[in-house]
Amino acid sequence: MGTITFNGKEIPFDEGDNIIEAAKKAGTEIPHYCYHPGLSIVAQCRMCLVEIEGARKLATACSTPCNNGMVVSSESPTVKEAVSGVQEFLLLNHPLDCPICDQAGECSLQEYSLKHAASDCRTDLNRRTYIDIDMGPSIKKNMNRCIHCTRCIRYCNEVGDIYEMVALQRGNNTEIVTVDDKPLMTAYSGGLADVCPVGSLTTKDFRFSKRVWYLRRNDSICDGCSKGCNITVSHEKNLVFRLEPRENQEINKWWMCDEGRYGFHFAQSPSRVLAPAVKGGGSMESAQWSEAGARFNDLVVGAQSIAVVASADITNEEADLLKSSLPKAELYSYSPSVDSSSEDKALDHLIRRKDKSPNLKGLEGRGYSAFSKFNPSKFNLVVYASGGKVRPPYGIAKLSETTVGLGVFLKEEVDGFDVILPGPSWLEKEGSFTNYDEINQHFGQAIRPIGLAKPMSVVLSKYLADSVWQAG
Amino acid sequence: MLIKRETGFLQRFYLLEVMKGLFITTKNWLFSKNITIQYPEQRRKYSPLFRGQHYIKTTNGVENCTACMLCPTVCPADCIHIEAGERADKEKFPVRFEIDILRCCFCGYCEEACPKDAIKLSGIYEMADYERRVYDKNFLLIQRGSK
Ligand code: SF4
Ligand code: SF4
Ligand code: SF4
Ligand code: SF4
Ligand code: FES
Repeated sequence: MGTITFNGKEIPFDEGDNIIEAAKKAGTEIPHYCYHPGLSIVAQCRMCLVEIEGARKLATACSTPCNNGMVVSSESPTVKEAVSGVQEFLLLNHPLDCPICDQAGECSLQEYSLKHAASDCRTDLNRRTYIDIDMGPSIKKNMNRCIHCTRCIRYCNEVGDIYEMVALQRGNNTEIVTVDDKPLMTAYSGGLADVCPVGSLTTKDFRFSKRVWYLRRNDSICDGCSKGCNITVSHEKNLVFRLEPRENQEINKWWMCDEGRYGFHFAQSPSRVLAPAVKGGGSMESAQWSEAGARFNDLVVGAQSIAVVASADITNEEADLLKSSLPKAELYSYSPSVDSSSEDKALDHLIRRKDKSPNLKGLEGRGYSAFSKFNPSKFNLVVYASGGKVRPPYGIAKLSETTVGLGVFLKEEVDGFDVILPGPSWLEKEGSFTNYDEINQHFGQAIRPIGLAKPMSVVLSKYLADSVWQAG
Repeated sequence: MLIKRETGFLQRFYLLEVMKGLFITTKNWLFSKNITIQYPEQRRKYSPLFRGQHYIKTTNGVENCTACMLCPTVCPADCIHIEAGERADKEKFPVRFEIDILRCCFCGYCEEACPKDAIKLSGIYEMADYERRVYDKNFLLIQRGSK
């Protein structure tokens, strides 16, 4: 701890902070491209120049750690001139094709050009152009827009643990390529689009689907595995367009994996069951909520023995609710990749976990036993609760006399069920997941339930008779 | 607000006032120039700044529009609907481009916002139709006017 004088004001800094971080905590942004708090520091874009009293030259704020008593200025005329010069150099070769660039609206180059550069262009030289190489299934490369900050290369080396990206040539002709033009093979390739400060690396998944200024953002938790990465959900008009990682130093730092990032599409898939359905003459037929709800109640009231099988992606709140509303039922949890959380382990050096469900730990803590102990022949009625991405075990509905599905199902899975009561996926509801490390994380609702889906609390309280609730 | 006006002695007879009115009518009827024209044979000249029916400008048969979504962003009536896509000869182009013309208020903001000089408001003002028209891309690509 100590203080520096920044633009005439005393500001505190923590041990190890560079000037950018100290200024950020005091609410000032020093413009920067190559610096990213999660990556090593190379000080090569020169955008973060500041003046330090006593130093002979301007210094880069990213590579200069704070020293007690340092006097720093980011607003002096010398700094302003230098920064606007750097910005002008970066624009020398920039195509400025913002109209077709997915980054537009959240692009550092746009922002800093507006704030720190002159509005006119002093060159009529031709801009360099490249033919873009294919970077694999996840990432689209547009080399013309690159500003050579090398964040992507450092991201691959330090985060993705692959060494496949390099910078060829130098100066104006620098080109960022993959080794031998091979596609990127990492489970974290989507993060390249996050670290690239401009539109040079963007995701193919989000490409051209929405301009970013239309998007509303909500904080949430990824439901892809037991890690529970913090994410931001971007959506518009009740449609989700992308997920992005949100910083949480205790869990995912700044990152998330591709599986989680692109995994939300199931919730908007055309084959999701969006209306209640009941079994009628062999196949499932859509029904009114009142009809399906009454059928559900009849089945519960008539059953001698009930089992609740919950895929481990329902929220803790839903798990509690099932437990209290069906007091006679035996409870089981289901995760596709592990039987109990003791089998869970890290899949790689960074964040991915073996357990591909977000809340197994939470269910276990609430008395749900492992799926391997589930013996379907013991029960007249199985209530299968699905919270989203975890697909129910194949043919589960055919194992016992009657089965009710509660939550998210796909059309090809409903065979054998007696009643399906559609519920919201994790994007459409509020709740909490407990991750592998026993960290309980609350998340909010991003969009309204899709179709006729109703929250589990409404379904259970509205359609189950009071006698069922009180049976315990 | 109601303002009470005093009526004079002569005015209360009305006769003089009626005569005055008839005099003005007769003067206009007999001596002034016609202000109506024989539409549609005759047409008025509008200012080149007039904002009428939209079209999308093309260059060598390819639409100028690159689906940047600036016009739907700026449109106060929220009546432009675009879906972007990619094809071999054009990195980003509008797969679907629709203007819900009955909602349009002809402010011309779309034309002003367009970085590609693509969306234009022509001088055409005869837009009556028998049904609720939504202009689709094919219709908008027909070039109208020289603006
Ligand atoms: S990288 Fe930024 S400045 Fe460059 S074209 Fe894309 S949005 Fe525009
Ligand atoms: S592609 Fe993006 S992240 Fe990589 S060097 Fe270029 S601008 Fe930086
Ligand atoms: S003229 Fe105005 S209201 Fe009409 S489409 Fe253009 S921006 Fe929208
Ligand atoms: S502003 Fe112009 S280029 Fe952009 S979407 Fe509208 S018509 Fe197309
Ligand atoms: S951020 Fe400091 S030099 Fe790039």
